[in-house]
Amino acid sequence: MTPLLWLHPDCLSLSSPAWVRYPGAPALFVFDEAEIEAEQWTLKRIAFLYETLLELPCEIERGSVVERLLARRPARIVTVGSVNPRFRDAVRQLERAVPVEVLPAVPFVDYRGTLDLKRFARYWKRVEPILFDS
Amino acid sequence: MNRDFASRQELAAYLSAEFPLAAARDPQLSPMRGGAQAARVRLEAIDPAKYGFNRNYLDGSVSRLSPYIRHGLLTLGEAREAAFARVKDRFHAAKFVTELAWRDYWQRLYATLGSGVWQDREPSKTGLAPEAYRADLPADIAQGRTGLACIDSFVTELRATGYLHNHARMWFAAYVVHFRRVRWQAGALFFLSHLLDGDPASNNLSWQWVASTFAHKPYFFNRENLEKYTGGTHCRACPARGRCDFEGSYEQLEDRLFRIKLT
Ligand SMILES: Cc1cc2nc3c(=O)[nH]c(=O)nc-3n(C[C@H](O)[C@H](O)[C@H](O)COP(=O)(O)OP(=O)(O)OC[C@H]3O[C@@H](n4cnc5c(N)ncnc54)[C@H](O)[C@@H]3O)c2cc1C
Repeated sequence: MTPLLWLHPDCLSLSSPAWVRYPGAPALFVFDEAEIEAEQWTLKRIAFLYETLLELPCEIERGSVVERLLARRPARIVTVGSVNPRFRDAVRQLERAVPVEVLPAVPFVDYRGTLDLKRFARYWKRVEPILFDS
Repeated sequence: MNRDFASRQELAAYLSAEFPLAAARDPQLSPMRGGAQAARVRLEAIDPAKYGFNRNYLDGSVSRLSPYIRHGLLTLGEAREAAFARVKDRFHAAKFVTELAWRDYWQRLYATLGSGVWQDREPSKTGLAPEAYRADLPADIAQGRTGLACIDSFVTELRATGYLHNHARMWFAAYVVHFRRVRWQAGALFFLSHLLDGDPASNNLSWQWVASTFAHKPYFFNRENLEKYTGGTHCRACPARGRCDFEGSYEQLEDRLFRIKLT
């Protein structure tokens, strides 16, 4: 059962975990019109993403992300995780209709435990040794 | 949507028709191109050792990788490995890797804050009431017509390229928030509208850092500082030369801008 790969603005690479796991699967990117309006995107932002997408084997649509994905009637959807709250909302909505597999993005720092994020300095104290060691 | 275009102009025309609201805000395309190919070219050009000592200068060896990293064309890990491969001792790439970590840090905060990145993290440390700041971005700033050569040139560059050097972002944000007393959210939205790397975490939290709603003190600058890191290019030709908003010592500006003693 081939899944539908959902590409979003945080994971536009052929070496993203979704493509690595499901090479050749059909892929869809949807320009999220709500996001574009909320952040008042100018044309150059859209063009930059569009040029990126033209190098990727995918289809491109615009509108509501959830609607456009579900209109494909996928048996399941696979994507790469993002901390963007819009992404999380969309996943929640999609999951009501179809199984969604969210593969973790490749982490910059593989830190096990809770990082103190109050200020950068506290975070840096923990991650610096890991970044320069591995 | 279409995938076949004979030229970039054709792509621009097609996108203008498909996204008329975005085109009405600003129809320009950036000279920086999207795509893995373009990302690779940038990655091959990085010079992390030089970056370590000249990155604060507007003509310093900054990577311009941010739009590619922001959209996952490159991972932070790949950028770090490329930097390490470019230097004899990892220590020489330390500054560059620290900056990569800033992105990771903001993303981790974003995971916990969500759309809360639009709200003040902490009270501002300027001594001014929230009402002292206007809600919208004045038109002369958005159009690059303040009469200040530096600020106007940053706006022109941002509009034309979707990119600004980090130091220019800091100066611009400080100008908007502290010198013009505009709420940081208005400036943040203006940046998101134009920046190819526009990201609500890195962007809004950096604006908050400048504003002091996510820092111990506000970030501001004087003309001497700007002149030093720009090689004086803007100041030389500035209509406000010698009498601009940024003239004076840090102490004098502090008195003028804020209601509390910072130092
Ligand atoms: C007011 C303001 C708004 C900003 N808005 C954004 C934004 O929307 N998106 C964004 O990616 N960055 C933002 N930054 C951070 C920084 O200015 C840019 O990441 C950097 O200038 C991009 O240029 P570069 O790729 O040449 O960076 P380099 O200096 O070459 O750094 C390499 C990479 O490290 C990361 N990085 C560097 N500095 C920072 C930083 N301070 N914070 C987070 N990541 C960093 C970027 O991914 C960058 O590509 C903002 C900074 C300020 C002061």
